[in-house]
Amino acid sequence: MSWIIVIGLIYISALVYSAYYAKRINSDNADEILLARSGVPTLLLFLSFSATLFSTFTLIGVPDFFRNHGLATWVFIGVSDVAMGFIVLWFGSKYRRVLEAEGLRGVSSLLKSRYKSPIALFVYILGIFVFLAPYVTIQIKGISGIATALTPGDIPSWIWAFGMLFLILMYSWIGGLRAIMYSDVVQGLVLLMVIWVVATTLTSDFGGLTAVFDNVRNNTPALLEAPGPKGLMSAQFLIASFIAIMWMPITQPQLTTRVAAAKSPKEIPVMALGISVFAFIILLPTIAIGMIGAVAYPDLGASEFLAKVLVEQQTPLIGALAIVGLLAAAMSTADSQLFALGSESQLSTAKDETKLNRSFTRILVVLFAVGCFALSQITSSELVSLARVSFAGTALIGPMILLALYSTKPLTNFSPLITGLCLIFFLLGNLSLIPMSLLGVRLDLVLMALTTLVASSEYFIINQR
Amino acid sequence: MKITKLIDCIAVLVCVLTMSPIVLESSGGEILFGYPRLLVLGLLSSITLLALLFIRVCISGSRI
Repeated sequence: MSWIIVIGLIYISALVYSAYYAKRINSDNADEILLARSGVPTLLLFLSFSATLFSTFTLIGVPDFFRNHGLATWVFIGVSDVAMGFIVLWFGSKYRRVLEAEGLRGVSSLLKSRYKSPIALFVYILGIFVFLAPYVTIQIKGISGIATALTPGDIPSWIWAFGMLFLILMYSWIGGLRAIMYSDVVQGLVLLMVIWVVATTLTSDFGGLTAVFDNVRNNTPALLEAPGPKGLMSAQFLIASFIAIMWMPITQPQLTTRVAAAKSPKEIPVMALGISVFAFIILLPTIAIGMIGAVAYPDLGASEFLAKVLVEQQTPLIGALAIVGLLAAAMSTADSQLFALGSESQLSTAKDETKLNRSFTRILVVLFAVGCFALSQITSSELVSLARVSFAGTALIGPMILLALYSTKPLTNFSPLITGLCLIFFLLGNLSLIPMSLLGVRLDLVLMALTTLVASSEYFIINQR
Repeated sequence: MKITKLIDCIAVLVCVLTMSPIVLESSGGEILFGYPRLLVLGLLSSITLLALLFIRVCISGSRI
């Protein structure tokens, strides 16, 4: 318990320091507080992007995926996240150039400037709210539950959830987006350190990776091949997940705000490379954690397995670091998502974007946080379902955004309307009201193909005129 | 410009090949360089993408 208090206090001090450091740079300018418009150095930018991208799923979900579904998990998450660097490079450079050239401030501004009516904006805001709010909620709920189980004493999970959200609101209120980015760097580095320390100690206790794979080969050889023992890692699943992950830098507002915060378009390529390298080095140790889990704890539930590998098998110091790492991972994603929901909401309603109201965004962020806290206390299976498919859901709005980015002529409502319909079908599918596949093809793949086809057709028709 | 497009095409090809059923399902539990073949293929694919991205960034001439 004493190590958790010591490391927790160091962590909180780092967050408070980053908030006040950011406040000094912002100098009470709304554009700086909400969007960090004067730019953030590339190193900080890619670390912030990566910390936001790699949530608790990296430390909790990915090792458990390796344990249950085997080595094809690397193709699902490792190859996809490394490939994402190319998307950041292609989309980010163009997006940052367009923002600079036209004085736009975010995706909402872009959609307002390109589409004739507010339908596109409505579909975008609907998409990010319906899928991101449950994701934040489930993340806060999951981590607060795990923190209660892993720490001594009987601290109820709602206190952990409240504490995390209070800290997030505190530093984002003081230092705005820049404080969130600085705290992301702290959180990302904590997560990276924890994951490597845990993997190294586990591997050395087990006698090396070769021994682990020999053991897996003898006991559960299906883990060494696709589609894994439960058949999940099929080509169709991997392709659908790959496409959903590829759309993330375009559709997730917490990521697009970081691309927009680059000092100039010329910094985007290095940022893209940094993101890919970070993805590779943070995901690599999860292979060892997961495969050791498959050998040593094949029958445990996910939370018992994590308690064993992250805390019980570690020294008290590393165990405490792991708990703080889990909290850091959850906070670095939740803070960015809450703030991005607030700033995009303000951009979507602002008549004059040069006069943004920082208090309005702050109040919105507080309201969203309170809403997520309330939802986390009454989590339903529908909410869990929405959070689980959030990346695939937001991927549906990607083609509509890309069309706005690449088109210089005014656009019709056709693509936003089809995207809106696809979102509704996807929601109905996830609520089990319509089938989740069409002629043997997954519903998300069909809908992604449809939105892409519609947006690209409109692009070619408009450009031919 | 042509080289950057070629690199982009190779990157797409690497991703498509990695996820194609032929490569995925033929890997089995065989050993390659002392490790399971699926892991070696996945890691090689990621490293190739990293290398391609590095060359692409060097060619595009960016600054830190």
